[in-house]
Amino acid sequence: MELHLLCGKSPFLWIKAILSHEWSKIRLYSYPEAFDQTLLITRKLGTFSDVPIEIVPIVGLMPLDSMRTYSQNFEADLIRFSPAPQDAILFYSGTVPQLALLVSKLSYKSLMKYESGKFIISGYLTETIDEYSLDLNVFLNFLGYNLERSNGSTMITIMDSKLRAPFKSSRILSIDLSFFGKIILSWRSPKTSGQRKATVNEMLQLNILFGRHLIENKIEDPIIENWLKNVNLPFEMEGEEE
Amino acid sequence: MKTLLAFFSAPHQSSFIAQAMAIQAHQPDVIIQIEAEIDGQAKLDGQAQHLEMWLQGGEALLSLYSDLNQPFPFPYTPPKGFVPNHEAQSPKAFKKKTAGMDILQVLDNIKRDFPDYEYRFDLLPGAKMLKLDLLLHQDTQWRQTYTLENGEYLEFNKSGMSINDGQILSIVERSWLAGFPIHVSMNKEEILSKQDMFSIALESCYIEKFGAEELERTENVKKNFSKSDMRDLKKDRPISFRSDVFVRRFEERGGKVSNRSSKGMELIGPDGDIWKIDFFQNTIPNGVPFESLMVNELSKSWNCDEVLQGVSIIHPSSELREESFRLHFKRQLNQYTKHPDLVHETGPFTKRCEALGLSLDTPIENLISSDLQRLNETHDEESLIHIRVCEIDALTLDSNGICSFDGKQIMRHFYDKQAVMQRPAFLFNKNDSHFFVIGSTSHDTSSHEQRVVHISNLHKGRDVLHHENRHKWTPSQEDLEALKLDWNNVVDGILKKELRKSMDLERTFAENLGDYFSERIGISWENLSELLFSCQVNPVEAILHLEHPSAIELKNELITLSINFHETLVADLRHQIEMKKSKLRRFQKKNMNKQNSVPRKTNHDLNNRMFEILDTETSYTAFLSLLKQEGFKTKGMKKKITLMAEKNGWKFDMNGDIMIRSEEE
Repeated sequence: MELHLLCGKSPFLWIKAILSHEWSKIRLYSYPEAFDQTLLITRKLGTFSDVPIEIVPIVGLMPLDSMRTYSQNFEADLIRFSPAPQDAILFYSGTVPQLALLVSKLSYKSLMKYESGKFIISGYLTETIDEYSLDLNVFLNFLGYNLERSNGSTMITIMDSKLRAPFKSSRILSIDLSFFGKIILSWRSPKTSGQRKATVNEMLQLNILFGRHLIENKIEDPIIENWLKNVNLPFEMEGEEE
Repeated sequence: MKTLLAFFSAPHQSSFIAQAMAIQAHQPDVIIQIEAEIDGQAKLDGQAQHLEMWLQGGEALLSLYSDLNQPFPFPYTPPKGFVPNHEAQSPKAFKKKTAGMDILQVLDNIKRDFPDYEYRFDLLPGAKMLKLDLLLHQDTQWRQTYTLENGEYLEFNKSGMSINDGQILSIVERSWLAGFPIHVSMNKEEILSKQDMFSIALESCYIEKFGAEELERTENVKKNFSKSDMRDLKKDRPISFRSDVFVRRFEERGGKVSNRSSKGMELIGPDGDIWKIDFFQNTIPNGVPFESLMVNELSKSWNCDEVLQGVSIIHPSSELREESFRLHFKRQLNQYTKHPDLVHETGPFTKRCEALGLSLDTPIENLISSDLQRLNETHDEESLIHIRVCEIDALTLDSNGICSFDGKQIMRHFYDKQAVMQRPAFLFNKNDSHFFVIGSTSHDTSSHEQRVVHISNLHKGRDVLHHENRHKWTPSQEDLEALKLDWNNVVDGILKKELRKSMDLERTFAENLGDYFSERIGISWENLSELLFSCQVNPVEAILHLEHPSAIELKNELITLSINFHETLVADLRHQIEMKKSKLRRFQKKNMNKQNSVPRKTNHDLNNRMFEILDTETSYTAFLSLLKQEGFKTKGMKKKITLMAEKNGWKFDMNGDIMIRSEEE
C-alpha cells in the first residue's frame, strides 16, 4: 500500500502515520513554506525506515489568499498529476477543500483517519493499523530540537548545533503531548505583573519556534487566559501611537 | 425543488457561526443538524439555543441576552437573525443523532424521511475527521459543498469543483451568535453616503509639519526627549487635515472649511454634508477622522461585501461588564497617580471626576458607584469604552474572511502584542490572519511583515498587500508638486543661514543637511530623495546638482557652510582633546597622590600608639601632630582618644603634662 499525504501545519500525525506501517511508498504533497521542515523530517525518517519517500510540490495556501482563490489554484495545479494508484491511501491531513479536490481530481479510493490511537483505512481498502508510539522528545528531534528538563527548568536547544539555546524557562510546570500532537504546556501562575509579562514573552517565543498551531498553553491566570483567547492584553501598551 | 441542507453540528459555541454561515449561504427549506461528538471535545452548556433563536429572527436571538441594560444601558447593534431570500420563510431545523450508525446510513435515512428534496451536505461545520467517509461517498443525489466566508459555496463532484453564489452571514450576526453583544458606529452604506466628502478630504491632506503646538502636546505625552527622538518626531510626519495646504486644496475641490482652530474644524462637502472634526478626544488625539478616511478607501477599492467602522465587541454578561467597568476606572486612577506631570495620562481621570462633580481624592468606590448611577440616568454613548472586550477601527468581510484594520495616523513601530488584541478569536477562523495597520507615516519596516499599509496605497485594492512598498507614502502628482515647492523653500533657507544654527557636531555634514531637509519638509531624506530624484542621492550632491535660480550662490554658501562646519568640528575636536588631556592629568596626579600617601591607620594602630605614650610626658598638641605625620586622620580624634581611654581604663587629660595615664587609685 502507498501512503499519500498532505503536509499540514502539524507534522505529528503524518510522522506517526508513516512510521506505523511498512508502506511500499510514501508521497508527501508539500508546499514552499513547509519544504524545509518536510526535508528535515524526511531525512530523519530515513534513519527509521527504508521506505522510498517522494516529495511532491503543490501550491500552498498563502496567508493572504482566500479559500476561494486557493481552491481554484489548487484544482488547476492538480491537472499535472495522473490518477492515484488503486492501492494508494490518502491520509486526512490538510483542509477539507484540499482533501475533497484530491479525492475528486486524482480519484483516491481509500482514505485513512486517526482515531483513538489507531489509523483506520476506509473505502476501497479497509484496515486498522496500531499507531507508532512517538514521544515528545522524539517528536521534537524530528522538528530539529532537543528538550532538556532538570530542576524545574526547561531548555530547548537546536540539534547538532552549538548555537545558544533559543528557549529557556523556569516557569513551565509540565510539558505533554496530546493525542493529536499538540505540545501542551502547563505554566506556573504569575504572582506579579512582571512575572506575567515574562510568561507571555516566553509563550510568544515558543509560538515563534513551533508555530501557534502546535502549542496549547494552560495557566491559571484569568488575564493571560483571556489574552490567549485574543481578547485582552495582559499589560498596557507602552508608547502606543495615535 | 425544495432544498435540504445537512451538516455536522458540533457541540461548542464557535460552531454556531459555521452552521449559520452554511444556512445563510444555501437558503435551504429544511436543515438537518447531525449531532456528533468527538472524545475530549469541550462542550458549552446553555448556549445551544443561539442558533435556533437566530433562525427565528433578531429579536428572538436578543431575547437570550436578558441583561443588556446592566450594569447600565449601553448602545448595541441588534442582530437581524436569518435573512431569507425574497418571500422565503425561515427553514425548519431538525436534529439527528448518529446513534451508532455510520454517516452514510444517516444520509440514507434522511432521504427516506425527507423524500423529493434536493440534498446538500455542507462540509464547513463540524470536525474534519467526521467527514472522511463522505468524501468517498458516490451517491450523486447528495451534493457535497463547502461554504466560503462570503456566502458563496464550493461544490465538489467527479468532474471537479464549481463555485456557486450564496448569501453572506454578516459580522454582526457572527458576534451575537458567538455570545458577544456588538456595537457598530458606521456601516458600509453610511460610509458610502459620505464618500465624496471623505474622498476629497483625503486628496486634500498633505504633510503636517512639526510645530509648536505639536511640541507642547508631545511633551505632555513624554518628558525628556533625546535629540534623536526629537529628530525622528520631526522627520516622519503624518499626511493629515492639519497641514496648512489642506484648506486650500479642500476648497479648490468644492468643499468649505469653517471654524478652524487648534481644537478642530468643520468641513462642508460639495453636496452640503457637514463633518465636524475634533482633533482631540479629551486630551488624546482623535483617531476617528483618520479612520473614516481609511474606511472610505476600503469601501471604495477593496471590493468587500461588508465594511464596518468603529466596532466594539462588548463583554457578554452583566458581571463581566461591571468588572471591566471597575477595572477601567481603577486603571485611570493608577495612570493619574503614576504620571501626575503628563496631561496625556492624568486627563481621563480628571475629566471623569469633573463630569461627576467630585474631587480627585474621592475614594474610588464612591467614584465608581456615582459613575454607575450617572450612566444609568444619562444613557451616555461613551459608556461603551468601559465595558468592551476590544475596539476595532474597521472590520471587513469578503471571500478572505474577516479582516481587521487599525488606523494609526502616526506610527513608527508595529506592536505585535496590540495586534493580538485587535482580533478576537471567535471572529477569526484563521488564527494568524488578517490584521492590518493603516498608517500615514512611512515608518521603519524592520518591525513588521506584510501588515502595515500607507493610507495613500489603499486605493490600489487588496492587491496592495503584495506590493513591496505598501507601507510608504505614494504622493499624488499634486503632492509631488507641493513637495518640490517645499524643497525649494527649504533650500532657500540655506541662504538665510538657517542651516548654520541647526548643525549638530555629532553628525556628519551630509547627515545634518539631510536632517535639515527632513525636519522642515516632514519626511525622511531617503523618502524625499526617492520622490524628488527617483533615486538615493546624498543631500550635498543634491544641492550641487541643482539648477536653481540662485544655484551658484547656494553652492558657494554650501561650500562656506561645509568649511565652517569642518572648522568648527576640528575646533571642537581640539577642545575635546584638551579636555581629555586635562582629565588625564588630573587622574595621573590623583593616582600619584594615592601612591605616595601613607597607608590608612586603624583604631587598632591608634590603640598601640596610645599604649606607647601611657604614663609618659607628652602634650595633646604634640601627639596630634605626630599622629598626622604617621598617617592618622585626626578629625574627631579627641572623641576617639576619649573612647579608647575609657575602654582601656586609662585617664585622658588633654591639658596635662601626661596626656594618657593609667587610672590612679
